[in-house]
Amino acid sequence: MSGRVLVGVKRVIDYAVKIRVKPDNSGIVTDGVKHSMNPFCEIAIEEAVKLKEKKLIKEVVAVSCGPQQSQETIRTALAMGADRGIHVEVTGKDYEALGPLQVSKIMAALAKKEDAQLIILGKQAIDDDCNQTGQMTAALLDWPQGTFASEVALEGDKVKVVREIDGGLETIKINTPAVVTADLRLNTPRYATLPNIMKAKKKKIANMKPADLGVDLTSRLEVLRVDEPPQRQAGVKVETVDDLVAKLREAGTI
Amino acid sequence: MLTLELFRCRPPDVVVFPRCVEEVSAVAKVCHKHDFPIIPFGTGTGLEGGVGAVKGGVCFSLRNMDQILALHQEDFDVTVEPGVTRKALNAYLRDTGLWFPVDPGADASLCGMAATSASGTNAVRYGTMRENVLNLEVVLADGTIVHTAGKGRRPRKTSAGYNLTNLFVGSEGTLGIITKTTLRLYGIPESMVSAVCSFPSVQTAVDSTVQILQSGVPVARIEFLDDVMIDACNRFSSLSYPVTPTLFLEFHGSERSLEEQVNTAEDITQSNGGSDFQWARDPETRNKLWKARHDAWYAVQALRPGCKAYSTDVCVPLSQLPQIIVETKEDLIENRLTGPIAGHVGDGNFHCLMVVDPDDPEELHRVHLFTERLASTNNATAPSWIPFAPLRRSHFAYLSPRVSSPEVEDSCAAVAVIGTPRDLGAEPDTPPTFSTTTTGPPPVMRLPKYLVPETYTVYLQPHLYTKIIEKVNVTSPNQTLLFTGNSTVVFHCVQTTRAIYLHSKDLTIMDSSVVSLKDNARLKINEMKHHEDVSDFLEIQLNEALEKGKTTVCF
Repeated sequence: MSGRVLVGVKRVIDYAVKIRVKPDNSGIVTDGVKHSMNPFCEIAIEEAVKLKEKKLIKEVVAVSCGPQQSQETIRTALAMGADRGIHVEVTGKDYEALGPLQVSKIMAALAKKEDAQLIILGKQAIDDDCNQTGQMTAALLDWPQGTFASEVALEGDKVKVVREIDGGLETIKINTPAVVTADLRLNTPRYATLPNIMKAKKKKIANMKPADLGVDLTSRLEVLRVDEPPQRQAGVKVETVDDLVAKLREAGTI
Repeated sequence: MLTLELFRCRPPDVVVFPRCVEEVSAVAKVCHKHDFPIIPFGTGTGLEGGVGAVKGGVCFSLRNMDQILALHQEDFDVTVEPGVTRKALNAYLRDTGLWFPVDPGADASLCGMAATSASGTNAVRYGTMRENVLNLEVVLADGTIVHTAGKGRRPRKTSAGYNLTNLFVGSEGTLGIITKTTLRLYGIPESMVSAVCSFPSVQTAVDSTVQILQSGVPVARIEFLDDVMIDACNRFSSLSYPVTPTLFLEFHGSERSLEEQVNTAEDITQSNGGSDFQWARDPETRNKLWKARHDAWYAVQALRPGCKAYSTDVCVPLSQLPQIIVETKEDLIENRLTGPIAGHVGDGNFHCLMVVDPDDPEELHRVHLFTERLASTNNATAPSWIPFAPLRRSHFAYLSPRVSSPEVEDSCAAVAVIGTPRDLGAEPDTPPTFSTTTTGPPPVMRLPKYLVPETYTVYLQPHLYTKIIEKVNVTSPNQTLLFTGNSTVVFHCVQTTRAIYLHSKDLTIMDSSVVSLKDNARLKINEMKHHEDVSDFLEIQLNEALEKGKTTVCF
């Protein structure tokens, strides 16, 4: 086994920012807005770096698809402990239409090219909430998948994954190579410290285009409109339980 | 006697939510014109009643001004508005490798932390707000906008000249409203290790602290918890530390330096009889440890459900700490009071967290006396009594009960007068804080400064021999120096007021009058009251107010 882990990291609008919809409802405002690494991708990188620190794998490669600024996200991954980065350049209209289908094709192509043993992704991105990239990547590669992982353990050539599902926790054992997607409780990502940020500047980021990987970026989706959720209406305060029941009756809910 | 008055909520009359400094300035101008008290509000997480509107007024809630304005990574500084909290800033900074380490416990507004000169567990290594605020933008009481170190400046070095920045840091909103603060940032430590060690006595715990500091270990946090506090934390956070005085330590640094720091600290604690030295590197265990310390406030209240907790804050030179803690604990036991102790022992600081039943006046009284004794210990800065805090704003001499000498109080009052064009919230007609119910801080002894005396003329006739003084029906026995006489004061009025205060003890006033020098008009006296307390005030309430600028005679 190559001992190489690919980790996808996505550049998204920072979780703390208040999102605003563009006046023409074509999308959300991204200019001048703070961006950072998707929190689930941070957890994915952290898990990969932990595996490397335990000497269970040899190399962590951080991958990001997007415009020039995606390199900042890769640098953060490098500062957290990834060894090298791959920036797949996607700009303009292609970037606006970039979704899980395209990204999973890119990840699949890279996995073959880099002879990866494991792909770790965040379970979903906080901007589109798709929760599809990991699953599609596994399907394209015909690899097993361990999604919503809250615990990952490498055991020889197999991976034990504890998954967070609606009913509780499910433990599965899958063969490598495999795709794992990270859930919230998998770990607490480390902060990038200044000395590590300095070291990361020296690590390599390879540049390539989707065409170099033979990937077709055409999207089957067209965004028609983006709207804000409806404004929250004011509630009504009542003094007694009887009033409450009467009001509910009036509203037809009981 | 402590009353519940002081735990009461004190809401303002109006709340405004300005969105920019120009709006703050405009509203401040309006308040200034109409003499409304101004109360700045950041997050309201302070535990000292700082946002209580004792005399009503206008509360400026600054939460809509929540931008992080200028981050300069290579210069290690950032400028923020009042709506930005400590945790929000650190979340924003997380991928720059920088952080702002001052941690008072709550997720407080950074400008609010500047206003209260917040300290916290990290102070021993990173300093308090005083050391970490580089510049402030402040709106003064009359709406003027000032930049304490110059507009847009963020020098790391100091220079000669008045240190206006540190004048406002800690001023608790009495000198102006802080609308921007420029902060010094630090590199996020590569690694952190937390350690815990139990000691057979307070003395050995504090000795270890002193020795660790002396050995040059740049310890990041060093917290002392006494046995009562450890017990409370054990119960509240489901821990199982031995119930004896304990030190919690945290070290920051690179992997290699951490090993050295931890080894040095362990050796020192062992040589002082410390046992059960445990340390943790992984974040989960470390967080559990420190959560126990941050939750101390709640753990303490959980000791006696239904009771209120009341924090005291004492800071002494390190060498005196063991003795003072030991004496404090003896005092608590003697007076049957519940008071677990926790403290930032690296700064010689400890909090005795009193738990008191608000419905038990006798216990409240014992707590009150206890805190007075605590305040009067040698070299102590007076406790920041939480219930007393709301009274601060009503009188400049009590800018902060943190000081314990009249000279310092006067300086604070002088600064406050210079800093604000007018009294912020002090109503001239009300007497300074004292009352017959003796609540609150020690009564004011100094005369209010609204009237400035120019000349005194005193005529005294002693009666050395037995004499019946008809008017007052007093028989003067031999040689007691009983006297009659009169005293005339000419004073200048600097502030409109209706009351004249004089010190008077054991005098029987026969007759008095007040005349305005300007037009020789005799002013009607409504009431003359002698205060039967420590202040010895004689209060003369006039029918009309004395106006600023006028000279009056009182005899």
